[in-house]
Order: sequence, then C-alpha cells, then structure tokens
Amino acid sequence: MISTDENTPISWAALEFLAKSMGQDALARQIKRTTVSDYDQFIDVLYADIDAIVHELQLNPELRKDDDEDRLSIEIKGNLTHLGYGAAHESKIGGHTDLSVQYKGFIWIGEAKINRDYEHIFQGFQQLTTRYATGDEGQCKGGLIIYIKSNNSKQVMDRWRANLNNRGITDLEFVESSIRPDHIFFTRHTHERSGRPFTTRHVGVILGFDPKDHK
Amino acid sequence: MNAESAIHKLAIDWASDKDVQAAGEALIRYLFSERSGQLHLSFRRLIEISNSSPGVTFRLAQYLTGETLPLLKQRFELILDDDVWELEDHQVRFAAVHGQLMHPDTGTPVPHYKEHVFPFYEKGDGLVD
Repeated sequence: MISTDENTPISWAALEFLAKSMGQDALARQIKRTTVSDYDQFIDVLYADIDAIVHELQLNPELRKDDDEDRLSIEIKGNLTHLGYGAAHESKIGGHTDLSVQYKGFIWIGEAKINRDYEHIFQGFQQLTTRYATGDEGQCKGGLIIYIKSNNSKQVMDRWRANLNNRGITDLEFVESSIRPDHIFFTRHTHERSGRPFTTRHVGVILGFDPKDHK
Repeated sequence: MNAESAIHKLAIDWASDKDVQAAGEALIRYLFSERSGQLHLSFRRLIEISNSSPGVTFRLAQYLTGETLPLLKQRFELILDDDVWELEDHQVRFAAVHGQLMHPDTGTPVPHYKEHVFPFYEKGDGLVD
C-alpha cells in the first residue's frame, strides 16, 4: 500500500501512483524526458508522449468533429507544451510547419493532415520531407499525423501506405511499428537535400464519429 | 527573466487551466523570492507552496522542468536507513527504462527501489543568473 498522507515523504512509488491520472507511465515518461541526452532518446520519449496525447484526443471524437487540421494540431501543441517541450504551431522552419518540437537542442517536425484524400496526405509528406526538415543529424526523423474522420481508420492507413508505395519514391522502405501497428508505421527514404536516410512516423488518429443510435 | 514575465508565460501556456495557473503563480513567486539561495524542495513542499492537489502539482512540475519555462530541475535521492545518495540522471534513467536501480556504491540492484527513492527539485536554468 502506498502512503500519500500529509506527513510522509513522497517516494518514486507514491509519485507514480499520484501521476497515474495522466497515464499509467506518466512518471516514467517524465523521467525519460528530463534525462534525455541524445537524439534517439528524445525521439523515443516524444513518440511516447505524442501517443499518450493521441490516446486522449481519440476518447472524445464528438468534440472534434468540427475541428480542422489547425485546431487539432494546436491541441497537440498545447499538450506538448504542458509536458515541457518547446512546441510550436506554424513556426517558420522552411515554411510554416504544423508542429515543431524543440527540446535540449533537438528538433522534430510534424506535418498534419485530415484524410480528405490521399493526394492531400501526400502533400503533407512532401512538405515534411522536402520543405521543412533539413534531414541533417538531429533532424532526420519527422512525423505525419493523419486525422481520420471517416470510419474504418485501419483501411485508411492501409490504403495510404499502398498509395505512398506507388509514388515511385527512391529507396522507400516500410518499417512496422510495435505500437498500434494498424495505425502507425514508419517509412525510410533518402532525403533529397541531405542525401541521408530520413525516417517518417505515420500516425493515424481515430476521430470518426458516426453513432447509429440517433440520426 | 523575472517573476512577472514567468507568470505571464505560464498564463499563456495554461490559459485553459485556471488551477495550474493559480498554483504556478504561487510557486513562481516563491521560486523567485528564493532564487539567491540553494533550493532543495521535496514534492510535498511543492504541493504546499503551490497550495494545490498532487495532480496539479505534478503537471506544473512537468512544465517547469521543461524547455519553455525551466525554473526547476528534477532530481532524485536514494535514502536507505540514514544514508543518502543524490542520483545522477543516467542512474535514474536506467531505472526508469529497465526497472532496476543500481546502488551508486555497490553497483548491485536496490530491492524495491521505488520505495527508497525520493524526487526533489533544484533551481533550473531559468532561475540561474
């Protein structure tokens, strides 16, 4: 039993218990965040934090049904700011990025699209990989966040993956995700400007809302 | 940076959460009033100073140990009987990632380490002149 009474010092175990309302692993993520010392550690914890934020976003799709890309991205940006990241929407990095995150000198850029059609999503991929990210060390990973407001979000992600695969992108490879594999996958390809490998994390956000009880 | 500019920044970033704003203002005023000395604040002390719930205090601590308004640095100490070890970031990180804390002196795993490790907060870069 964890004591949290007023006279007992708060241990790691007690703080972990108190922080659970912000996710089962909220304290572990905070520790990983504040002890980041290299780019891969930054990316690992950032992705865990984004996944936790996406989890919350998905809980109330009825509240998001009228939100556009900007409004949804601003919400993710706000949550990242609360976690301590230097997050921005529409910051000027080769253009106006949907989401940029700076932390301890590392940078990550995300582009966000509603699944209007696959050309629209591809435009986001192109913006991310050819306009915003330099592809240099410490900036060789980015994200494409896809807000899916229709039903069968898994099918949307499957079709997006197939669509991207048919675009003739040089050296494009697909890498599976161990987390939410039906809605997250990675691509790796040669970044045009830097000539270095660039990894994109494609994240589907389930925001469909089509209840059949009241019409 | 001074207390007023920090409070202004907090108010912008937490515009939708009045609880964190109020707690943060109290904590920021305290931190700037104490900035010339050493700080070693327990999480319990943060709750007292911010006059808020543990949940609000945790959210506030996450924010203030981050990039935007870095007024605090979170650290941990291992306390066994009457002996205290201030842990290095890499030691704490190893425990968070692998679920095992190695004793700073002996290098052997500390049983039930989460019961013996306590967070504390020092001045962050934003408080250092």
